[in-house]
This record gives sequence, structure tokens and C-alpha cells, in this order.
Amino acid sequence: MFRIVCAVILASLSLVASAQRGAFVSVDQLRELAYPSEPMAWQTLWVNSAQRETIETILDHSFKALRVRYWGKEQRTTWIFEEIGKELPITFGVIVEGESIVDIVVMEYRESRGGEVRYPFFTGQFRGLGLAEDNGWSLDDSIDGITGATLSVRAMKKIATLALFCHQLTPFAQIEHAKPDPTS
Amino acid sequence: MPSQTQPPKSQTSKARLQKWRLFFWRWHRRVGLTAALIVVLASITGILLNHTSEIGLGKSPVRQAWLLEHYGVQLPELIHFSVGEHWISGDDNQYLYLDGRQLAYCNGTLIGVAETEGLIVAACSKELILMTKAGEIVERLGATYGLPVPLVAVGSCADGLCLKSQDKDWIADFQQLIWEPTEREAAWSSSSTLPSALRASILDEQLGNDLSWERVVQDLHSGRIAGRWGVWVVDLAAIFLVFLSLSGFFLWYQQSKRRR
Repeated sequence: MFRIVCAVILASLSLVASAQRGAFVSVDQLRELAYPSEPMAWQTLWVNSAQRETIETILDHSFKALRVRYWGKEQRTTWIFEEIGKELPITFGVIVEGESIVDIVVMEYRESRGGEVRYPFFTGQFRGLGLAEDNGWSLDDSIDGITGATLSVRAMKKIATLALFCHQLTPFAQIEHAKPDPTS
Repeated sequence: MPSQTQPPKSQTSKARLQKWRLFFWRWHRRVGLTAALIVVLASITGILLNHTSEIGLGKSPVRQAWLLEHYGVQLPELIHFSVGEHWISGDDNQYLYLDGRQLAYCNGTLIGVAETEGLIVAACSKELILMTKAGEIVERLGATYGLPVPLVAVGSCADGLCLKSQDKDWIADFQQLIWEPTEREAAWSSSSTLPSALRASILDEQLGNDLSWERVVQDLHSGRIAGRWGVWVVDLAAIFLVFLSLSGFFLWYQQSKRRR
């Protein structure tokens, strides 16, 4: 009897874990979300050593890549990044427009706990956020965490900040900056 | 009355002593020669152990693959591919090495290496790593970017780089990250034997510091390096040493007595 109870408990726990894991948004779905019905070409952002240092500051670990892929159109860019939550990488898709986040999605979640970060009640907090002006490489508003998903929340905040930073480096951010200031 | 044929008591004891002397002379030599090798080894290792901290034996890790294997230390399984003048190696912990220098983690087992657009492409079963010839990672491309995984081979084909996956051949477009089925002939990358200096460099980087020279010298001293039998051999050498001391003392004593 005891064995049966243990087996049921273990089966339930593994079901809960597997319910957290999964691929939720494909690359094509992300592109469709960011640029509905538009054919998009990959753009390349080459990262120099100073920019890489900033990226490493944002991520708080080394960043070994000379170039980053993204899609861009008008003032909107879309990024795909991976960041380790607790032990495994989480794949995020981030859509940035102007100087703020339009949307952030969890494309693939591989950890057994903390998968709640993919739900809109949480990701919705990132919409409209930009970079803080103090140059400390953080978001300009706080994000309410989720109990039991601290590391996944932290990973998502880092990636949101990184996408905003990378967006600044693209010509798609310059388009807005090149506009004449209406107040002047 | 004592029989005339019987020798006197002193003569009997002299003959017995002579017999023992001969016995000790003969066996002192034989046992000495037999024990010599072990005694020399035990003496040298003993001196080394007496000065272990001065010569830093405890802090010197063993790097000799054969010795580590003897101690049951698992050596990494390595696979190597040559590309141009460079060597890319992969170990069973999914780390890549460029010319013996650890480079990066790669998702999956290294299955081949090719060159395209001036870059080296290391193909692991679930990821492609593009790098410069100096070893800088340019980009990592996985299933997220539509890469058909698991990859089983990579090679050069007309107009670019070909991949083999899911029983199909694919041609890669690294500008637009497009992977299209192809029927082009490809020269698939195959593993080769790494020069021994590079292999030693990888092993040096990979192996931990679990085994020190102090432990090896201790085991040589006690005979444990050769297992249970080694200990018995050293024990036997110790018994021989005891015998040599006794026989040596006996022979010396007899000699000095005769001189007197």
C-alpha cells in the first residue's frame, strides 16, 4: 500500500514537472507575433568589446558571441536569447519598439520548476518598460516576482534588459533618434 | 667410555658452527641480491617521503595517462577533426577545444568540422558553433534557429556547407539561417588522430588534481601500487632485511671471534 502511495505521489510530481517544461512559441510564431504576415530577413548585430562588456554586466556572466541575430523593421526589433534559469537555459523572445518592450515570451522552458514566468499575468509586467536612466543597466520599473520561480524571474529580467540594450545598438533605434525633436 | 669413533664435543659444535656459517654466507648473499631491488626502491621512496613537503610531492598532480588509468581515473573520451591548419576536439563532457585549448560548451557530441565564409563551423549533434580561426565564438545556432537536429554529419559541398540530419542532406545559408534539403555531393568531415602534444594538452586541462605524486610514492613504498601482491612482495623484502641483519650479525660475530 505504501509503495502504491509513493508511486502515485512520484507520478503526480513528475506530471507537475513535465507540465512546466515545453516549447511554447516557435521562431515562426514569434515572427508572426512581431510582424504579422510579413516576410522578415535576419539582421546581424556585431558586438564590439565595449558592448560585450556591457552585455556581460547585464547578464552577470561571460558572453561569448561576436554577433547576435534579430529581426528589425521601422523602429521595432525582435530578439531571441537564451539564459540559464537554475540549471537549464530558458529561450526568450523579446519584441522591442522605440525604447520599450512590446512583448516578451518564453519560447522554450526546460526547468522542472518556475515555468509560471511564461504566463501573461507575469510577462505583462514587462510591457512598456525601458532601460533605467541611471545607466545601471536595469529596467525602469520593478517587476513583482513569483514564489518558487526566483531564478527564472531573474533570467527574464536580464534578457529584457539585454534586448533593450541591443536594440539601442541597431539602426532601427537610430531611426527614431534621427527624427526632428518636435519640442525644439 | 666414549667410543673412539665419536669426535670430541668441541669438534662437533665447531662443525655445526661451520655448517651455520656456510649456510649464512650462502643465504646472506642470495637473500641480499633478491631483496636488493625492493630495498633500493623502498629506500629511495622513503627518502622522498621524508622530504615530501620540501619537494612539494603532495601538490604535484599526476598527468601521465597510463598511471591515471592504473589508478582507475576516467580519462575523457576525445574525438578530433582537422580543419585547415587547425584541430577541433570534443570530449564526452561536450566541451570543444581548438588546437588543444578549451573553447566552449557545445550542445551535443561533436560530429564534424567544416570551413565556410572564412569561419570554422564546429557541428555538435544539437548545435553549430561558428568561430574565427583565433577561437572567438561568432555565433551559436541551434534548433531555435530552425537547425534540423540531431545532426549526424557536416561537410563541404558545392556553394557552401552541408549537413546530414533526419536521413536527409541539407545546405546551410548562414546569412538568412535557412536550411534547405539538397542532393549535392558533399565531402563529409571525418575524425582523425590528434598529434600527441595537443592530446596531452587537452588531457592536462581536463584531468583534475585527484592523484598526487605523494600518493604514488607512498604506494611504491608500500608496494600497494602493484595491488595485494605488491604488499606481500614488500613484506617479504622486509622479512629478508630482518634475515640479512641477523645473518650479517652472526657472520660478523663469528669472524671477530675467530680473530680473537
